[in-house]
Amino acid sequence: MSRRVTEILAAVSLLGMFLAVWMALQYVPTALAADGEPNPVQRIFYVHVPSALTAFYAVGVLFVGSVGYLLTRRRGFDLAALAATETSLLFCSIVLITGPIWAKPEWGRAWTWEPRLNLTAVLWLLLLGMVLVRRVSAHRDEGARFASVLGILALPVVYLVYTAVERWGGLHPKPTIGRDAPSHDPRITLGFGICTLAFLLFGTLLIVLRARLAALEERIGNLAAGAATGVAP
Amino acid sequence: MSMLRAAYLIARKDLRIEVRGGDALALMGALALATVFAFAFTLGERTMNTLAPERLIPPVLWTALAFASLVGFRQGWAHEAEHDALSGLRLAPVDRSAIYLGKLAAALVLVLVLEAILVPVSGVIFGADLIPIAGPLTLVLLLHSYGLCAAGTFLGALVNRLGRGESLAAILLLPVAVPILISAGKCTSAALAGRPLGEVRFWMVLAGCFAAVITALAVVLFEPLLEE
Repeated sequence: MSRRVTEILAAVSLLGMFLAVWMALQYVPTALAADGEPNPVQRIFYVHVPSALTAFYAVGVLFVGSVGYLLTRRRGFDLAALAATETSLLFCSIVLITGPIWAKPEWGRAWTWEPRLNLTAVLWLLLLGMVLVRRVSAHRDEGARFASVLGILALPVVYLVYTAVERWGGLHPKPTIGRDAPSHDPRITLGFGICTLAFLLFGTLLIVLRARLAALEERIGNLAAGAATGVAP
Repeated sequence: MSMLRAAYLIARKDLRIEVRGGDALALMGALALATVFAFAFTLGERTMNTLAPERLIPPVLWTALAFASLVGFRQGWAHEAEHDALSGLRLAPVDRSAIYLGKLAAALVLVLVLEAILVPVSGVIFGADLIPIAGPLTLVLLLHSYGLCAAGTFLGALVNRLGRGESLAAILLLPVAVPILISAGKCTSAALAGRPLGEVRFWMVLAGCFAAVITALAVVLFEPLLEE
């Protein structure tokens, strides 16, 4: 991605994040709890769900990057997979932090045996494993191969984990926007849409910047190695 | 040479090494028993007397098995690291997936032998009579051990090549094997309680699907793991 496009993306996601914060805290009406009382805690939903969607989106990028790298062995795919792994880990962490903050007043406890919670925890552990595999690999290409293999393994595993944990049943609210559910205030739909868009753009920006940083690190590494051996890279 | 024949020969070689003075099984057994005893001590007498064996044994048994089997999953690959034996295997004119399937078979035999010791011991410690339910329990153990070994052997190959990343085996095996562990808990509990396995058919099918998917993925993804 050219420098210009990145700059525009950065500017748009910065504005988008400001807009998202304003919408989540000010614009959308306060949701009502089941007993009719105002329920301001629910506003964390505008950070929680967009973060989860961004984490899953980054897992998609990770999968494509992993398959692409194993098939073509082009560095670009591996850099994208690396950046997507770390970005997904970040947003997964946000999901795991904001979820219990919401659940504690809502359910009376921060963590339960609940499908989505456990799925996210498992995904978080898997992503952490992928980051660590790259770290401890003796050689860059070896780490890239191993991480790609795990990246491909991740998608079916996550699906099976989801099937398994969903069978346990649970308290987690099901998606309502876009389903046959009682219609929402249009401000809620708009606010949620803007927040999701802002988070996805920000996630994309992080992936692009992280991949570019990794590419620069590699270049410096190659230059240093070339200088040490006296061979021009 | 057919792939299955090659896999069989590799498994037989590994098991022969184990029989002629390997220490994998001894280490696995010691670790598994230590885990079971650690559970027994930390749970305490009151909890153990309150909870029925079908609620106590599944988590203890599968935690012990999962961690102990990690030793077995690595051992098979560690043999090949000595004298760079893996290069020899790689050069052999057989499908490389045969190496994975052979290691998987050897690991499965080790885990099943371990279970033959561990399950009766757990039955004694936690007070369950296993003889009337031996049939369904064996079926449950076979299915879930296969799933665990299919995932573990693959991750063992990966981790073994990392050198200093030993503890990563546990970090990676847990999230990958979650469906097997959940299912194993449910099915083992049903078998121990003497309930018909039809009640946990969903979990048996899920474990079967997991085993099939992981085996297929491992066979496809094994090639890039073996590159130099």
